[in-house]
Amino acid sequence: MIIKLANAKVYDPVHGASGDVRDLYIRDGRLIATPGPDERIDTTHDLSGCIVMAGAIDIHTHIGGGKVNLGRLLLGEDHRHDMAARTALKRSGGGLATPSTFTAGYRYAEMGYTACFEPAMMLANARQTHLEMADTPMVDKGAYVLLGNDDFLLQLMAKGADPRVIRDYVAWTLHSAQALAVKVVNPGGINAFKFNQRRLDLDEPNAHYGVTPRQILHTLSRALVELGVPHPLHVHGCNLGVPGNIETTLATIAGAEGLPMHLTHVQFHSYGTEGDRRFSSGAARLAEAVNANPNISVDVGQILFGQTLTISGDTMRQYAGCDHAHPKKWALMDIECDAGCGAVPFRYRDKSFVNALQWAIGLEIFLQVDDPWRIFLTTDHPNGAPFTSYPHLIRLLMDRNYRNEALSLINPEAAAYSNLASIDREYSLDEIAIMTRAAPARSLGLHDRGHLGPGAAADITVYREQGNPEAMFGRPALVFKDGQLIVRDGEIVQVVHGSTHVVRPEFDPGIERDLSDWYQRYASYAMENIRVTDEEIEDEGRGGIHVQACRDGEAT
Amino acid sequence: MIDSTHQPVSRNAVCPFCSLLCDDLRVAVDGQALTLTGPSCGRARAGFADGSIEDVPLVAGVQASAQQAIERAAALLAGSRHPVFGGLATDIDGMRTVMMLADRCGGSVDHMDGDTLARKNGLLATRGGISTTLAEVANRADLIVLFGEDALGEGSRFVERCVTPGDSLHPERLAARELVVLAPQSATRALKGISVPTRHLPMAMSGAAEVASALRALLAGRTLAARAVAGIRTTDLAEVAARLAAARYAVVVWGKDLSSAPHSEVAMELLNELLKDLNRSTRAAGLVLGGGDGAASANAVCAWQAGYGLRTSFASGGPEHDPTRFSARQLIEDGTADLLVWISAYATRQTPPADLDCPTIVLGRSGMRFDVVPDIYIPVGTPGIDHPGRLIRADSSVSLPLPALRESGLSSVRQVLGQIAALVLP
Repeated sequence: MIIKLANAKVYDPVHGASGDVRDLYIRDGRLIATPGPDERIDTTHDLSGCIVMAGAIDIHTHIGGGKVNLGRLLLGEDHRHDMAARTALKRSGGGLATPSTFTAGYRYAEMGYTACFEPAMMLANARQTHLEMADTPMVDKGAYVLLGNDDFLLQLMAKGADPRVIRDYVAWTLHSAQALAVKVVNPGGINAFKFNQRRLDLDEPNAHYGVTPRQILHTLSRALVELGVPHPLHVHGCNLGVPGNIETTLATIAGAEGLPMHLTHVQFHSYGTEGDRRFSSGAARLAEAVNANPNISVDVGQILFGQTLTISGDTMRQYAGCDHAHPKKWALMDIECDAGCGAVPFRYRDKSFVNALQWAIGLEIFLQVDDPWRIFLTTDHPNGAPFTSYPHLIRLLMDRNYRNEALSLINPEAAAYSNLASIDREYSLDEIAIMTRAAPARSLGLHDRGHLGPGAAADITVYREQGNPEAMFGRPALVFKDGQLIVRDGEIVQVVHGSTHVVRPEFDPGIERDLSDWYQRYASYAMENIRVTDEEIEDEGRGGIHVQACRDGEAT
Repeated sequence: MIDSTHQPVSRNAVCPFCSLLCDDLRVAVDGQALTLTGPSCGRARAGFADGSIEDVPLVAGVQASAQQAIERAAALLAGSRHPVFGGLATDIDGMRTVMMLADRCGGSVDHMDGDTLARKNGLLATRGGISTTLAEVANRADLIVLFGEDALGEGSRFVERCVTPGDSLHPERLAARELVVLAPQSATRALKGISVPTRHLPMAMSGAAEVASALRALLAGRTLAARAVAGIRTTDLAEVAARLAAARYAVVVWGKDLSSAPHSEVAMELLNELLKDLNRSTRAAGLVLGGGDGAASANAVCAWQAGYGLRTSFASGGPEHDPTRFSARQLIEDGTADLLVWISAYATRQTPPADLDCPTIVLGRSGMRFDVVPDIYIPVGTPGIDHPGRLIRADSSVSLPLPALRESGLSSVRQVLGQIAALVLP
């Protein structure tokens, strides 16, 4: 069966297509160059007047797992104000900040997204995270497993363990959690908070293990490089939200010493202490450092005004922010000598100096980082704003007049502190296609996603070309998932399940002897039982697993 | 292949009978007979000994074929204006299927322990809280304060696993560990032989709110005029408060005997706020036990699929939550619900409440006996015995897989509801 997308204006940066009008062909869920002479075209979609891109990929969105579910139970208001009724095709649900799983999948697809990655999966909670992702239809998914606050690793580091042992442990964790990448949150800080440390700077030692965040970052980055894991260490740095944390962030970049590193939601890590309020933008300095260090990639974590819920593994910083909770309630957990989580509701107000400046800082970062291959569009859903605000965010990036109008409405003092008005840059469709498709796919090692070349999975989004990017990106004309038409005119027409992407670097299984002993002595379950099996994810054919290749590691 | 030797086989098992999910059980499996051979507790022994492998359904009390029972159940469900799915003592996959049916049929969902869950959910939704998990308690706590005796005695391995573990990542914490028990006099016997220093202050559960309030006031530096609070000397409470303040990582634990006691919302909220107060200067966290009979799993699945915890209704076309109005009992008694689908896969005694006057379909553990004969009874297996399953633990962070132990031929809740759904849904 062959589907032809005719007369499409194609934006496919991987293959240099920038609005070139051409035909695309789909066979058995994949793009092909051209059909054979004997092959019949079964369906043709005339896409005159339409823009075609690969399906969008969200590299950092909190859509599943215990902390999200804690958030749902904490902030029922989010669901009361946004109920999504069932239809003949769709399950009911709702919620903007912590949508129910089905609703999250539908809404992503309705915006042209075909893959979403949950960035904070604890091994202790991996089974539930995969269960929630399995109940998130339409899109492919994957998750980054948390390391760097687990007592096992910190104990290894404190003992000065052989890097090969640490590498095996990292690989074992990726396998056991069925993860695609590794994330570290406030390196060592979640653990330190359990010992009642209330702050932890880059070179400050954990009170118990004596290990510093810098050492943790270096150890994990090095392990991932040696294992050949495609996505670099995904770093939620120290001092999130603290005025002056731009210094920490710049030191973190310098401390990478050329090793690849992805700094996530950098907006929350780019604050200076200038001005009367001792709160200023560090965006220009951050952008300068990113531009100068090709080993660094970032996603922004843009904030947008309104009510949301912040959910994070960073218990230390979430606790520090709990007095700002709106409404006034928050939940925090220490979890299984592994990590933790905190959920704090928050309302970003455009008339607040700090919130308005946060908004401007995010946009300044977007507009001052030169290379769209190393900056990804995120709101750190839901921490900066719900993912449903992406079309609005894209318009802010693509339309300078619209942006300046928005700037004129925020707290004027904050606007005066920002250089946003002086930035003329407008993102092009090519750049949007890079930052929301091609670049995240490349960074995650998804070779057959994020582009429209022959052999690519037919995850394709078709937009009606129009002047208003928010309207265009908010309601695609057609979305294909693995060649199946799933969305027409912004509405779901077919429900599909999507697959789970994982990596499985090689390692010496001898590490399991140490781990098994450790689990027997200290854990509250057997090592075997915390592993998530393939059968659980495949679930009698409902889910699939894509194992992404690792590079040849630089193992020593 | 038939095993002609009939030698019992020893298998690893995960216990489905309370929400601690102990996964170190050994079971001798001899055909269909199960005998616990390793570590266990009274509740586990009773649970593994319960039930049968009888798989013949009853329609109006009369034996019927599986097909007849499924078809009859489907007809009842198809004709129902508002089915309420109650009991919900099942596993994650059973609950996912319940949710699909409840959503598609415009029904509602409530657990057999819905009152307790509603209080726990209510506290989280109004105040939040600060909590911890089993391994953190076992490794990190230097002070454990039990409110109530749920975690004590023959029916629980909480003390063995979390209070007196054989080893700790932080041996200095284990060495310094103290246990304070605020529970009725009846707890005394269960405290014998606990190997950490233990202080029992006898307290009726109805006094928990007063005691929590006094502790909070003492921690805030206030002086109490009363010489005793709920029968406990104020000086003793002041000592507990001092220990809480001095602890590096205090854990306050409570279970169902607190959350079902009079004024328990007040007591739980006060403990919750006390823990928040403590964290201003030191570390402390709560641990709420309970969530057994699949409650923790049912609540979590409901939260991720519908956005709310249990007592959620889909009657208006999408999820709505009301912890009072949407209890199964309330919905049946006020005439809103016209069919009860009772799911109860763990204990044969957990039959539908006999005083509920409503057409009823029971998916119950094989071997159930009824005082009031339901319209349909379909025997089902128990997760972790008759079929594999997955369950979420009391601390709501960890979920574990439960392997099947025998081939009894009993269906799972997921399978039976799936067959019913295939007939009901377009």
